Amino acid sequence: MSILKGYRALVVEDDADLCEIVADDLRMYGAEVEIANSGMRALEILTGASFDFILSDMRMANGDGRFLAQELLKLDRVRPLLFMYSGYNDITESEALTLKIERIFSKPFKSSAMVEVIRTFLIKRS
Amino acid sequence: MEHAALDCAPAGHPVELTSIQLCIHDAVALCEERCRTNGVDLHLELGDDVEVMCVPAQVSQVVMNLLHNAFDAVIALSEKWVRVVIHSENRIVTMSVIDSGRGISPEVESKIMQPFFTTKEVGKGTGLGLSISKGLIENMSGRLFYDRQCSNTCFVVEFPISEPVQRKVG
Repeated sequence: MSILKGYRALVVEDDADLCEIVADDLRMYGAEVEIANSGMRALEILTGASFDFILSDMRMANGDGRFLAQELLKLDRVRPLLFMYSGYNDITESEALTLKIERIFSKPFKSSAMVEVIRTFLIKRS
Repeated sequence: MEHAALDCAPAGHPVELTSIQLCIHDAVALCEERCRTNGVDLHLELGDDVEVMCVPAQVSQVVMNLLHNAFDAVIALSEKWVRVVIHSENRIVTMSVIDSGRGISPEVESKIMQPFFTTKEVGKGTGLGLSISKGLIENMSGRLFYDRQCSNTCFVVEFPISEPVQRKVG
């Protein structure tokens, strides 16, 4: 169950319940998790902390997923891996590639399957 | 508070004829693994599809809020279960989220629909909030209330069942 032990994650989600659920799920798999309720807030947090990966909703007020991805491209240090989820077809595959979004999960998702995918990317990166 | 601003009621969000069961399934799918892993028995009695006029994403959001509250309420109990039950009668559909808790006190009941009220431990009470859930459901011509007749803890969402579309003949 601790397959994300040692990894730091930032969950970005403006639905407070879903944010807690996703964050708790990642903690259950061993990750150390911080949360942000918007893309703007995520960027603020990122100025003072580093993360191995970001898991973000796509549709949010105050800086959506696309905004967050665009801003992350401007970071002048090692970027966290970026994963997103959405209940809609918000973004094309080529745009996701351009924005360096590793994977977009469809909502509703199963956290165990999602965590497996994230872990595979984390291992590949290290 | 991290989640004071919510995206739950954007102006002009489309109301559409939707199966209430479908809205529930979306919320349950996001919560069921968490329940299973933590030994919470999540049981669904949804019956046949019932269509209501609603904003599906908002109904799912409210169901997730109720499931999240129920999960937090039972996690420390020896008996851990949550049931979601749909019942239709007299053109009204009710969705009850019942958990193995023993109900809430009249004092808490009088405050539970107030903004920012929570009985959760510090750091766990940042969810959507029952007051916002209630507002969302009422904006869709429904009701959200605490059922004090139930021997366990039960919150009910109620919607009028939409009339089937009548086709004009001739």
